[in-house]
Amino acid sequence: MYSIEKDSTGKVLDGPVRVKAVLLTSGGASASAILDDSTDGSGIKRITIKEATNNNSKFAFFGEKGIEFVNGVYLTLTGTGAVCDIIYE
Amino acid sequence: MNKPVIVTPGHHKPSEDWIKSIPEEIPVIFVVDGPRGLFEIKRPNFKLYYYEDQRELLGDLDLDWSQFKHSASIKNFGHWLAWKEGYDPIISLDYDCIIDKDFVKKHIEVLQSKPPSVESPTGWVNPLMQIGVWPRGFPYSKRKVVYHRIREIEGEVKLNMGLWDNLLDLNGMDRVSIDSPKSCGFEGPNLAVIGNIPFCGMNFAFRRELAPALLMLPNFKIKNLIIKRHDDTWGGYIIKKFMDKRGDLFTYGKPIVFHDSDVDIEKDIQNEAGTIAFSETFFKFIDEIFERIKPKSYERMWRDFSRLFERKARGTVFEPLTNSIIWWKELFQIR
Repeated sequence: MYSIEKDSTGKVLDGPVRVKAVLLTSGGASASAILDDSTDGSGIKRITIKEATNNNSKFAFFGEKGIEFVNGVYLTLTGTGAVCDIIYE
Repeated sequence: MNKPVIVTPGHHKPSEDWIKSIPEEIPVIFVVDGPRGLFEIKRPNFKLYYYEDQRELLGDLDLDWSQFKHSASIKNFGHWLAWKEGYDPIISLDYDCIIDKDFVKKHIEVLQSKPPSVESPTGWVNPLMQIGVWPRGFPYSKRKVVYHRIREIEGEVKLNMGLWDNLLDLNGMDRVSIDSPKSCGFEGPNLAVIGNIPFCGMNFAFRRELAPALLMLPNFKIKNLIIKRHDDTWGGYIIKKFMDKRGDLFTYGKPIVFHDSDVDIEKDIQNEAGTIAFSETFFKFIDEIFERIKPKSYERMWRDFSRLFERKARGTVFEPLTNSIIWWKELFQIR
Protein backbone atom coordinates (compact mmCIF):
# COMPACT_ATOMS: atom_id res chain seq x y z
CA MET A 1 0.00 0.00 0.00
CA TYR A 2 1.41 3.36 -1.02
CA SER A 3 0.52 7.02 -0.70
CA ILE A 4 0.95 10.15 -2.75
CA GLU A 5 0.27 13.78 -1.92
CA LYS A 6 -0.94 16.38 -4.43
CA ASP A 7 -1.61 20.08 -4.02
CA SER A 8 -2.80 20.85 -7.54
CA THR A 9 -4.92 19.50 -10.37
CA GLY A 10 -3.27 16.94 -12.64
CA LYS A 11 -2.37 13.34 -13.29
CA VAL A 12 -1.75 11.34 -10.13
CA LEU A 13 -1.08 7.76 -11.23
CA ASP A 14 -1.08 5.46 -14.21
CA GLY A 15 -3.61 2.61 -14.16
CA PRO A 16 -4.62 0.05 -13.26
CA VAL A 17 -4.66 0.91 -9.57
CA ARG A 18 -7.03 0.61 -6.60
CA VAL A 19 -7.61 3.70 -4.49
CA LYS A 20 -8.21 2.63 -0.90
CA ALA A 21 -8.55 5.98 0.83
CA VAL A 22 -8.41 9.73 0.31
CA LEU A 23 -7.63 12.45 2.81
CA LEU A 24 -8.60 15.95 1.73
CA THR A 25 -7.21 18.81 3.79
CA SER A 26 -8.55 22.26 3.07
CA GLY A 27 -6.42 25.40 3.25
CA GLY A 28 -7.70 28.95 3.54
CA ALA A 29 -10.99 28.11 1.84
CA SER A 30 -13.37 25.24 1.30
CA ALA A 31 -11.95 22.49 -0.90
CA SER A 32 -13.02 19.71 -3.21
CA ALA A 33 -11.31 16.77 -4.87
CA ILE A 34 -12.60 14.81 -7.85
CA LEU A 35 -10.77 11.68 -8.95
CA ASP A 36 -11.54 10.36 -12.41
CA ASP A 37 -10.47 7.24 -14.24
CA SER A 38 -7.95 8.72 -16.69
CA THR A 39 -4.57 10.39 -16.91
CA ASP A 40 -5.91 13.58 -18.49
CA GLY A 41 -9.20 14.40 -16.78
CA SER A 42 -11.39 12.83 -19.46
CA GLY A 43 -12.48 9.71 -17.56
CA ILE A 44 -15.46 8.65 -15.47
CA LYS A 45 -15.67 10.39 -12.10
CA ARG A 46 -15.13 7.76 -9.42
CA ILE A 47 -14.65 9.78 -6.22
CA THR A 48 -15.84 13.22 -5.15
CA ILE A 49 -15.01 14.68 -1.74
CA LYS A 50 -15.76 18.13 -0.37
CA GLU A 51 -14.48 19.78 2.77
CA ALA A 52 -16.34 22.96 3.61
CA THR A 53 -14.46 23.96 6.73
CA ASN A 54 -11.21 25.87 6.39
CA ASN A 55 -8.05 24.09 7.54
CA ASN A 56 -9.87 20.87 8.26
CA SER A 57 -9.59 17.32 6.94
CA LYS A 58 -12.00 14.76 5.56
CA PHE A 59 -10.98 11.11 5.41
CA ALA A 60 -12.73 8.60 3.17
CA PHE A 61 -11.93 4.89 3.23
CA PHE A 62 -13.22 2.67 0.44
CA GLY A 63 -12.82 -0.76 2.03
CA GLU A 64 -10.23 -3.47 1.67
CA LYS A 65 -10.74 -3.75 -2.09
CA GLY A 66 -10.77 -0.02 -2.71
CA ILE A 67 -12.08 1.57 -5.93
CA GLU A 68 -10.56 0.42 -9.19
CA PHE A 69 -9.15 2.94 -11.66
CA VAL A 70 -8.40 1.10 -14.90
CA ASN A 71 -6.78 3.84 -16.97
CA GLY A 72 -5.21 6.03 -14.32
CA VAL A 73 -6.05 8.54 -11.61
CA TYR A 74 -6.56 12.19 -12.45
CA LEU A 75 -7.24 14.71 -9.70
CA THR A 76 -9.21 17.93 -10.03
CA LEU A 77 -8.49 19.88 -6.87
CA THR A 78 -10.14 23.16 -5.91
CA GLY A 79 -9.67 25.50 -2.96
CA THR A 80 -6.72 27.68 -2.01
CA GLY A 81 -4.09 25.71 -0.15
CA ALA A 82 -5.93 22.38 -0.43
CA VAL A 83 -3.93 19.16 -0.23
CA CYS A 84 -5.12 15.72 -1.28
CA ASP A 85 -3.48 12.49 -0.04
CA ILE A 86 -4.31 9.37 -2.03
CA ILE A 87 -3.64 5.93 -0.57
CA TYR A 88 -3.57 3.16 -3.14
CA GLU A 89 -2.50 -0.32 -3.99
CA MET B 1 8.86 -16.14 38.04
CA ASN B 2 9.31 -14.75 41.51
CA LYS B 3 10.21 -11.14 40.79
CA PRO B 4 7.03 -9.43 39.51
CA VAL B 5 6.87 -5.77 38.66
CA ILE B 6 4.08 -3.45 37.57
CA VAL B 7 4.82 -1.08 34.67
CA THR B 8 2.50 1.89 34.29
CA PRO B 9 2.62 4.86 31.92
CA GLY B 10 0.99 8.18 32.69
CA HIS B 11 0.84 11.80 31.60
CA HIS B 12 -0.90 12.94 34.78
CA LYS B 13 -1.17 11.78 38.34
CA PRO B 14 -3.39 8.72 38.81
CA SER B 15 -6.32 8.82 41.18
CA GLU B 16 -5.84 8.08 44.89
CA ASP B 17 -8.09 5.03 44.39
CA TRP B 18 -5.67 3.66 41.82
CA ILE B 19 -2.60 4.37 43.94
CA LYS B 20 -4.19 2.71 46.98
CA SER B 21 -5.12 -0.37 44.96
CA ILE B 22 -1.47 -1.16 44.15
CA PRO B 23 0.02 -3.68 46.64
CA GLU B 24 2.85 -2.17 48.67
CA GLU B 25 5.08 -5.21 48.23
CA ILE B 26 5.13 -5.02 44.41
CA PRO B 27 7.64 -2.63 42.82
CA VAL B 28 6.18 -0.18 40.30
CA ILE B 29 8.04 1.33 37.35
CA PHE B 30 5.95 4.42 36.55
CA VAL B 31 6.88 5.91 33.18
CA VAL B 32 5.95 9.58 33.25
CA ASP B 33 5.04 11.07 29.89
CA GLY B 34 6.49 14.43 30.87
CA PRO B 35 9.38 16.23 32.53
CA ARG B 36 10.45 16.09 36.16
CA GLY B 37 8.07 18.03 38.35
CA LEU B 38 4.94 17.14 36.36
CA PHE B 39 3.66 15.18 39.38
CA GLU B 40 4.94 12.95 42.14
CA ILE B 41 3.71 9.78 43.82
CA LYS B 42 5.20 9.32 47.25
CA ARG B 43 5.06 5.60 47.87
CA PRO B 44 8.14 3.50 48.73
CA ASN B 45 7.46 0.88 46.06
CA PHE B 46 6.98 3.44 43.26
CA LYS B 47 9.83 4.68 41.13
CA LEU B 48 8.92 7.42 38.68
CA TYR B 49 10.89 7.89 35.45
CA TYR B 50 10.54 11.35 33.94
CA TYR B 51 11.88 12.40 30.53
CA GLU B 52 15.20 13.33 32.17
CA ASP B 53 15.58 9.85 33.66
CA GLN B 54 14.56 8.19 30.41
CA ARG B 55 17.20 10.23 28.57
CA GLU B 56 19.89 9.20 31.03
CA LEU B 57 19.08 5.49 30.78
CA LEU B 58 18.58 5.39 27.02
CA GLY B 59 21.86 7.17 26.26
CA ASP B 60 22.36 7.73 22.54
CA LEU B 61 19.09 5.97 21.78
CA ASP B 62 17.18 8.83 23.42
CA LEU B 63 17.43 10.65 20.09
CA ASP B 64 14.70 8.46 18.60
CA TRP B 65 12.69 8.07 21.82
CA SER B 66 10.54 11.12 21.11
CA GLN B 67 8.41 9.13 18.61
CA PHE B 68 6.90 7.23 21.57
CA LYS B 69 6.13 10.25 23.74
CA HIS B 70 2.59 11.61 24.16
CA SER B 71 1.08 8.19 23.52
CA ALA B 72 0.38 4.88 25.23
CA SER B 73 3.49 3.48 23.58
CA ILE B 74 5.62 5.31 26.13
CA LYS B 75 5.14 2.19 28.27
CA ASN B 76 7.78 0.54 26.06
CA PHE B 77 10.40 2.23 28.21
CA GLY B 78 9.04 0.54 31.32
CA HIS B 79 8.89 -2.87 29.66
CA TRP B 80 12.50 -2.53 28.56
CA LEU B 81 13.68 -1.31 31.96
CA ALA B 82 11.84 -4.13 33.73
CA TRP B 83 13.53 -6.61 31.38
CA LYS B 84 16.92 -4.96 31.96
CA GLU B 85 16.49 -5.17 35.73
CA GLY B 86 15.56 -8.85 35.56
CA TYR B 87 11.90 -8.64 36.58
CA ASP B 88 9.70 -11.60 35.70
CA PRO B 89 6.80 -11.51 35.07
CA ILE B 90 6.32 -7.98 33.81
CA ILE B 91 2.79 -6.73 34.46
CA SER B 92 1.62 -3.83 32.35
CA LEU B 93 -1.20 -1.81 33.85
CA ASP B 94 -2.73 1.51 32.84
CA TYR B 95 -3.11 4.22 35.47
CA ASP B 96 -6.90 4.28 35.09
CA CYS B 97 -7.34 0.56 35.77
CA ILE B 98 -8.16 -0.16 39.40
CA ILE B 99 -7.17 -3.62 40.58
CA ASP B 100 -8.23 -5.93 43.39
CA LYS B 101 -5.88 -7.33 46.00
CA ASP B 102 -5.28 -10.63 44.19
CA PHE B 103 -4.45 -9.00 40.86
CA VAL B 104 -0.77 -9.95 40.72
CA LYS B 105 -1.41 -13.41 42.14
CA LYS B 106 -4.07 -14.11 39.50
CA HIS B 107 -1.79 -13.08 36.63
CA ILE B 108 0.96 -15.35 37.98
CA GLU B 109 -1.45 -18.25 38.46
CA VAL B 110 -2.56 -18.00 34.84
CA LEU B 111 1.04 -17.78 33.61
CA GLN B 112 1.70 -21.07 35.45
CA SER B 113 -1.50 -22.79 34.34
CA LYS B 114 -2.34 -25.38 31.69
CA PRO B 115 -5.39 -23.70 30.14
CA PRO B 116 -7.90 -25.00 27.61
CA SER B 117 -7.73 -23.24 24.29
CA VAL B 118 -10.28 -21.52 22.09
CA GLU B 119 -10.54 -21.02 18.36
CA SER B 120 -13.00 -19.50 15.94
CA PRO B 121 -13.78 -20.30 12.29
CA THR B 122 -12.98 -16.67 11.38
CA GLY B 123 -9.44 -17.03 12.76
CA TRP B 124 -10.18 -14.29 15.32
CA VAL B 125 -11.22 -15.01 18.89
CA ASN B 126 -13.53 -12.46 20.47
CA PRO B 127 -12.75 -12.02 24.19
CA LEU B 128 -16.14 -10.32 24.61
CA MET B 129 -18.14 -13.05 22.84
CA GLN B 130 -20.06 -13.72 26.07
CA ILE B 131 -21.73 -10.29 25.86
CA GLY B 132 -22.00 -10.13 22.08
CA VAL B 133 -19.85 -7.08 21.37
CA TRP B 134 -16.48 -6.77 19.67
CA PRO B 135 -13.56 -4.93 21.21
CA ARG B 136 -11.33 -2.27 19.68
CA GLY B 137 -8.92 -3.85 17.25
CA PHE B 138 -11.26 -6.63 16.11
CA PRO B 139 -11.39 -6.45 12.28
CA TYR B 140 -14.83 -5.49 10.99
CA SER B 141 -14.68 -8.07 8.20
CA LYS B 142 -14.38 -10.82 10.84
CA ARG B 143 -17.28 -9.64 13.03
CA LYS B 144 -19.61 -12.59 12.70
CA VAL B 145 -21.53 -14.42 15.37
CA VAL B 146 -19.80 -17.78 15.32
CA TYR B 147 -19.35 -20.71 17.64
CA HIS B 148 -15.97 -20.67 19.33
CA ARG B 149 -14.55 -24.16 19.86
CA ILE B 150 -12.76 -25.19 23.03
CA ARG B 151 -10.05 -27.83 22.90
CA GLU B 152 -6.85 -28.95 24.59
CA ILE B 153 -3.49 -27.60 23.52
CA GLU B 154 0.13 -28.04 24.60
CA GLY B 155 2.41 -25.13 25.45
CA GLU B 156 3.47 -22.73 28.15
CA VAL B 157 1.55 -19.57 28.89
CA LYS B 158 3.85 -16.62 28.24
CA LEU B 159 1.35 -13.78 28.10
CA ASN B 160 -1.96 -13.24 29.86
CA MET B 161 -4.31 -10.42 28.93
CA GLY B 162 -6.76 -9.45 31.65
CA LEU B 163 -10.12 -7.94 30.74
CA TRP B 164 -11.96 -4.88 32.04
CA ASP B 165 -15.23 -3.87 33.65
CA ASN B 166 -17.00 -0.51 33.66
CA LEU B 167 -15.65 1.16 30.51
CA LEU B 168 -15.01 -1.63 28.01
CA ASP B 169 -12.36 -1.22 25.34
CA LEU B 170 -14.51 -0.63 22.25
CA ASN B 171 -14.03 1.48 19.14
CA GLY B 172 -15.58 4.93 19.41
CA MET B 173 -17.85 4.29 16.41
CA ASP B 174 -19.26 1.20 18.15
CA ARG B 175 -20.01 3.16 21.33
CA VAL B 176 -22.29 5.39 19.23
CA SER B 177 -24.27 2.47 17.87
CA ILE B 178 -24.64 0.26 20.94
CA ASP B 179 -25.44 0.71 24.57
CA SER B 180 -22.06 -0.39 25.90
CA PRO B 181 -22.32 -3.00 28.66
CA LYS B 182 -20.62 -2.21 31.97
CA SER B 183 -19.21 -5.67 32.47
CA CYS B 184 -17.07 -7.87 30.26
CA GLY B 185 -19.10 -10.80 31.57
CA PHE B 186 -16.10 -13.11 31.73
CA GLU B 187 -16.36 -15.91 34.25
CA GLY B 188 -13.46 -18.11 33.27
CA PRO B 189 -11.41 -20.18 33.12
CA ASN B 190 -8.84 -18.21 31.14
CA LEU B 191 -8.46 -19.49 27.60
CA ALA B 192 -5.44 -19.82 25.35
CA VAL B 193 -6.02 -18.34 21.92
CA ILE B 194 -5.55 -20.30 18.71
CA GLY B 195 -5.23 -17.74 15.93
CA ASN B 196 -5.71 -14.04 16.46
CA ILE B 197 -7.13 -11.85 19.20
CA PRO B 198 -7.37 -8.06 19.48
CA PHE B 199 -4.70 -7.15 21.99
CA CYS B 200 -5.44 -4.46 24.55
CA GLY B 201 -2.50 -2.97 26.43
CA MET B 202 -4.41 -1.85 29.53
CA ASN B 203 -3.88 -4.96 31.66
CA PHE B 204 -1.54 -7.79 30.78
CA ALA B 205 1.34 -9.82 32.16
CA PHE B 206 4.13 -11.43 30.22
CA ARG B 207 7.26 -13.48 30.77
CA ARG B 208 10.52 -11.56 30.62
CA GLU B 209 11.80 -13.45 27.54
CA LEU B 210 9.03 -11.90 25.39
CA ALA B 211 10.12 -8.32 26.03
CA PRO B 212 12.52 -8.00 23.06
CA ALA B 213 9.65 -8.85 20.68
CA LEU B 214 6.87 -6.88 22.34
CA LEU B 215 6.80 -3.37 20.94
CA MET B 216 3.87 -1.01 21.32
CA LEU B 217 3.95 0.82 18.02
CA PRO B 218 4.28 4.60 18.00
CA ASN B 219 1.87 7.01 16.32
CA PHE B 220 2.85 7.77 12.76
CA LYS B 221 1.64 9.60 9.70
CA ILE B 222 0.58 8.51 6.24
CA LYS B 223 1.11 11.88 4.60
CA ASN B 224 -1.33 14.09 6.58
CA LEU B 225 -3.28 11.19 8.10
CA ILE B 226 -2.28 10.43 11.68
CA ILE B 227 -2.43 6.77 12.71
CA LYS B 228 -3.23 6.48 16.43
CA ARG B 229 -4.63 4.03 18.96
CA HIS B 230 -2.99 1.09 17.20
CA ASP B 231 -0.01 0.80 19.57
CA ASP B 232 -1.35 -2.31 21.29
CA THR B 233 -3.60 -3.82 18.61
CA TRP B 234 -0.85 -3.79 15.98
CA GLY B 235 2.00 -4.49 18.40
CA GLY B 236 -0.10 -7.29 19.88
CA TYR B 237 -0.73 -8.79 16.47
CA ILE B 238 3.03 -9.03 15.99
CA ILE B 239 3.80 -10.60 19.39
CA LYS B 240 1.06 -13.19 18.89
CA LYS B 241 2.68 -14.20 15.60
CA PHE B 242 6.02 -14.66 17.38
CA MET B 243 4.36 -16.71 20.11
CA ASP B 244 2.69 -18.93 17.53
CA LYS B 245 6.08 -19.54 15.90
CA ARG B 246 7.41 -20.89 19.18
CA GLY B 247 4.27 -22.67 20.31
CA ASP B 248 3.85 -20.43 23.37
CA LEU B 249 0.41 -19.61 24.68
CA PHE B 250 -1.44 -16.29 24.89
CA THR B 251 -4.36 -16.39 27.33
CA TYR B 252 -7.11 -13.94 28.18
CA GLY B 253 -9.66 -13.47 30.93
CA LYS B 254 -8.83 -12.81 34.56
CA PRO B 255 -7.76 -10.73 36.43
CA ILE B 256 -10.39 -8.18 35.52
CA VAL B 257 -9.75 -4.52 36.28
CA PHE B 258 -12.18 -1.67 36.87
CA HIS B 259 -11.48 0.72 34.00
CA ASP B 260 -12.14 4.07 35.64
CA SER B 261 -11.95 6.53 32.79
CA ASP B 262 -13.88 9.09 30.83
CA VAL B 263 -14.24 8.72 27.12
CA ASP B 264 -14.45 11.35 24.41
CA ILE B 265 -16.31 9.40 21.74
CA GLU B 266 -15.89 12.00 19.01
CA LYS B 267 -12.14 12.21 19.60
CA ASP B 268 -11.84 8.42 19.65
CA ILE B 269 -13.71 8.13 16.35
CA GLN B 270 -11.36 10.65 14.74
CA ASN B 271 -8.24 9.08 16.20
CA GLU B 272 -9.25 5.54 15.27
CA ALA B 273 -10.35 6.17 11.65
CA GLY B 274 -6.97 5.56 10.02
CA THR B 275 -6.17 2.58 12.21
CA ILE B 276 -9.52 0.91 11.50
CA ALA B 277 -9.11 1.55 7.78
CA PHE B 278 -5.64 0.07 7.48
CA SER B 279 -5.50 -2.62 10.17
CA GLU B 280 -6.33 -5.50 7.89
CA THR B 281 -3.79 -4.35 5.32
CA PHE B 282 -1.22 -4.13 8.10
CA PHE B 283 -2.07 -7.62 9.36
CA LYS B 284 -1.68 -9.05 5.87
CA PHE B 285 1.64 -7.22 5.53
CA ILE B 286 2.84 -8.77 8.81
CA ASP B 287 1.60 -12.25 7.82
CA GLU B 288 3.72 -12.09 4.67
CA ILE B 289 6.80 -11.22 6.72
CA PHE B 290 6.14 -14.09 9.12
CA GLU B 291 6.13 -16.60 6.27
CA ARG B 292 9.91 -16.09 6.34
CA ILE B 293 10.51 -16.11 10.09
CA LYS B 294 11.79 -19.27 11.74
CA PRO B 295 11.35 -20.08 15.42
CA LYS B 296 14.29 -18.86 17.53
CA SER B 297 14.58 -16.89 20.76
CA TYR B 298 12.32 -13.83 20.85
CA GLU B 299 15.31 -11.54 20.67
CA ARG B 300 16.72 -13.26 17.59
CA MET B 301 13.32 -13.45 15.90
CA TRP B 302 12.91 -9.68 16.39
CA ARG B 303 16.26 -9.15 14.70
CA ASP B 304 15.09 -11.19 11.69
CA PHE B 305 11.74 -9.43 11.75
CA SER B 306 13.30 -5.96 11.79
CA ARG B 307 15.47 -6.78 8.79
CA LEU B 308 12.53 -8.17 6.81
CA PHE B 309 10.23 -5.33 7.84
CA GLU B 310 12.73 -2.70 6.75
CA ARG B 311 13.06 -4.30 3.33
CA LYS B 312 9.35 -4.89 2.76
CA ALA B 313 8.14 -1.54 4.10
CA ARG B 314 10.43 0.56 1.92
CA GLY B 315 8.33 2.96 -0.14
CA THR B 316 5.04 1.83 1.44
CA VAL B 317 2.77 3.59 3.92
CA PHE B 318 4.28 1.46 6.72
CA GLU B 319 7.83 2.69 6.15
CA PRO B 320 7.62 5.27 8.98
CA LEU B 321 7.38 2.36 11.47
CA THR B 322 10.75 0.94 10.41
CA ASN B 323 12.70 3.31 12.61
CA SER B 324 10.90 2.23 15.78
CA ILE B 325 11.31 -1.47 14.95
CA ILE B 326 15.06 -1.13 14.42
CA TRP B 327 15.30 1.11 17.48
CA TRP B 328 13.71 -1.61 19.63
CA LYS B 329 16.27 -4.14 18.40
CA GLU B 330 19.14 -1.79 19.24
CA LEU B 331 17.72 -1.06 22.67
CA PHE B 332 18.00 -4.69 23.71
CA GLN B 333 21.65 -4.69 22.77
CA ILE B 334 22.35 -2.29 25.68
CA ARG B 335 23.45 -4.61 28.47
